[in-house]
Amino acid sequence: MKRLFPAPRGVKRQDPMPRATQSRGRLFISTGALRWLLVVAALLTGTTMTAGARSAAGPQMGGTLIYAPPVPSAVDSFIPVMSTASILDDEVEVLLYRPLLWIGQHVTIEMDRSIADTISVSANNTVFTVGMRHTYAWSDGQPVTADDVAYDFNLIKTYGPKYAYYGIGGLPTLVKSFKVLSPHSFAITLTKSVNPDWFKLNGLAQLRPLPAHAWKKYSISYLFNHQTDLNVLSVVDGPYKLTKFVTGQYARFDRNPTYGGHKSYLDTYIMQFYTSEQAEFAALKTGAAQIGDLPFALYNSASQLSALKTYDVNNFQFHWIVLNYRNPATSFFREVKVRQAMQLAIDQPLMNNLLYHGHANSAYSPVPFVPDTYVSPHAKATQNASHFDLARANAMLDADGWKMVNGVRQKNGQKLSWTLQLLGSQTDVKQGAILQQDFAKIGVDLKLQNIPISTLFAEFGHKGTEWDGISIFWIYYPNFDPIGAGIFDTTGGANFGSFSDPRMDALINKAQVTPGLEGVYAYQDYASQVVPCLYLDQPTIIAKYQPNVHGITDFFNPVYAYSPEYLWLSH
Amino acid sequence: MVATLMRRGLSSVTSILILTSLVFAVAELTPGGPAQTILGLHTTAEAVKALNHALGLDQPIYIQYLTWWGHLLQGNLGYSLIQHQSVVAVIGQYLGNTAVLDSVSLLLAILLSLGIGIVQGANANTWISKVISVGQFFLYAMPIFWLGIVLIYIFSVTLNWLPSGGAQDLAESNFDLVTYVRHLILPTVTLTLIFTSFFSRYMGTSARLEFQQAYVTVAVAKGAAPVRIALLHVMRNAARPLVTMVGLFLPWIFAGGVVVEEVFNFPGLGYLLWQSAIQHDYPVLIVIVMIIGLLTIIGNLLADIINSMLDVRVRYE
Repeated sequence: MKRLFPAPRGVKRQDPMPRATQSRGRLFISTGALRWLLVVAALLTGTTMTAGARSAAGPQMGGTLIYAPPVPSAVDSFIPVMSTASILDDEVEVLLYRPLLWIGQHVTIEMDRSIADTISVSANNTVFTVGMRHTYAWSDGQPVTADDVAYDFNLIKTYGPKYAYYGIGGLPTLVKSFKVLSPHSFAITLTKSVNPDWFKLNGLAQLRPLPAHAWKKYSISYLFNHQTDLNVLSVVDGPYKLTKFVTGQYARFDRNPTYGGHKSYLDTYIMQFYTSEQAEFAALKTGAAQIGDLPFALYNSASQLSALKTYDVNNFQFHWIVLNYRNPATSFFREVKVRQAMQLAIDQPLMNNLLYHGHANSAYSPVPFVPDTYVSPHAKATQNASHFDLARANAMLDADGWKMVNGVRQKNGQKLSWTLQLLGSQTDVKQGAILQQDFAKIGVDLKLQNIPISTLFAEFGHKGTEWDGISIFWIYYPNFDPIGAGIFDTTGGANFGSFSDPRMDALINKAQVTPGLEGVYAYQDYASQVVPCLYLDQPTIIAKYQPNVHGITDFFNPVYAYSPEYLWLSH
Repeated sequence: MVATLMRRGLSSVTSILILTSLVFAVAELTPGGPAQTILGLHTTAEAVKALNHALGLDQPIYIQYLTWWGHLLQGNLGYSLIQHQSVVAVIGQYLGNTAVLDSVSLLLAILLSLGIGIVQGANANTWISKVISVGQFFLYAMPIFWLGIVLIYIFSVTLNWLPSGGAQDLAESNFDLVTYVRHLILPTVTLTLIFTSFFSRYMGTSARLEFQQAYVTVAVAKGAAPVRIALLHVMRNAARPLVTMVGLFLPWIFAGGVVVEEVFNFPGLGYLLWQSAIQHDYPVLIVIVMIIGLLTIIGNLLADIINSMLDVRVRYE
């Protein structure tokens, strides 16, 4: 089991060592005879005191736990491939249908928790041969085999571009063939040589065995219309079985006793969906939910939850302002100096303090800093340097020919003025106000506009010129290897602002084909330098949980592969 | 009466047709669409196009509309684009809760309004009437969500007497009536108080006017007991405007339910309406709007019928 990742900088986190362990520690030091007795007892029982999440009594089986995901939350589907591009759908699917490769706390593949136990790559990095464990079985007793993975792959191919993650990681667009070699092994041949780590993380990690023997009788249309049908979802290989689902209300999972991995300590795990932050807050306060989150909008009421413990969840995502390079009214976005100057005018430490109350990590590139698996040495070295410098920003714009006229800079008749669209949360609005003030100090006239999410989708889909800049979060799922493909390459599907830079394209392509981390480092450093978008700090989720809940650090995961099977309740 | 009902039925069908047409048109004009919601930010234009084609959303709007009506006439309300279940199944999970919440709240509000209105009317221009007026205005001015939050704070968080939200205890495998009723209390009280503040003002004004009528003076002169006068004579006449108001108020009852359902996390149709509008889940949205439209029409019709029963001067042929 992987250890906890190091405490993120500037982020508060509770010491996970429970009181019983601390008490025993103090006894060990202070009482001579008792100390020796304890040593003997420890040796005899073979128990070791570790800085893990286990109490002196160890995990206890049984109980029901209710988890409230951040609002707004709702699950629409439990069938992989067909579900909406919803993180919550992905969270619940993982409980029923185990992924081939488990992405762990450091956003790396944890083979000991994966259904795959070996992956070998050909010398030319085009053939990936995967061996699967024999210990996994479906809940109806049938073994989990390579045919089940083939079924999943074929479903992706057949479903086509309607699959929300189609093309990510080259799946299935780069796949030349998928061949089942034996009941527990298969080989994928690609059309070109790739960076093996990139394909494993972004392509292979999307695959999972699906119950071919149970589902082959269903048409795709039938599966599409029965994504929450308990009869269809009755055969699973994950740690839980779905026993009840009420649309928009809750999903109830009971322990799957046939699961081939770490079996759940809990009898029942319930995911409760709340319609408002106030409703979720009240549920945490009254104990109706054992785990939830404290939204920043209600941070001032945190004292009412003082009886609960706190844990900061760092999600593998980044917070950015997409700039529209197509819009002729904001053609100044194409000037690197303008973008760099605006980035210098973003006071992330202040925002962290005022908006996120210290629960955020500063970010100056598209690669998340926590966990720092993919952070370049240069980024690590410069993380704590001053990135907020109004004097330097002004000097940069002065040197670039942008003259201050009545408080707004102008050049060749064009004003440095644009509108930032926000999704309208309280925090977004406050952040917009801070940006407005600081941008005014460098002569950028920033207007703010709230938009509903449907407008955001429409504008991004339309790829027109009706917007200037939009603030969004980008979640690295399922493209866990954050090389920027799809986001900043010229033809990228998620390149909403149509940013285009031949060097960026070359670096992203290189990261995709060259083994190792050098490619992602080079891309990241360049993205930090040329600022294709404006980077904002990355808030954590402030998780709150009841004191009798244990295993929290194993439960949460930066890529939303939550593991409730490690949660347990002390009675 | 039969002819009246037939005329009203015909005009109702016309109203429903206009209503659903408007909803279809507005949904089409709203930026975005369900395909983008389903596929999210990681998608491509090609994928959106493919999904729109698969869902039939690339057809001209009038084709989609006619197709929907064709299915409806065959008893098929369609499939939710987002929930991936039949619209009937989706709405069924919410409709019952809304029906219970709104009907119980409305019934209690009517009963309370009748009583408060009569008392207010009987004690016009006294301190009793003034105190009642203050209470009415206080509740009338209070935002629904704020009242709900206050009730949660008092009865759930502080006193721990009642649950803060939901419809029943999730840990229970089977439905439990007592638990369901406990979850219903706070949302019902919230809606009832707000509705009562509105209806009782009308009832109070109407009762005050009725108490000034000559027949009341005659009844008092004949020695009839005040309670008998109030309940048997005045209430029947004073209730007519209330009946009309309730009939017209049905859509607003639904709207109030949306807010209460959100505050109390109560799984109702109002919340589903809001979600389906945001997510462009057109099949669900259209059917809910139809339900609201039908309720409004039925409500108005019932109000007219009850009024004709209460007032012999009002009769329909």
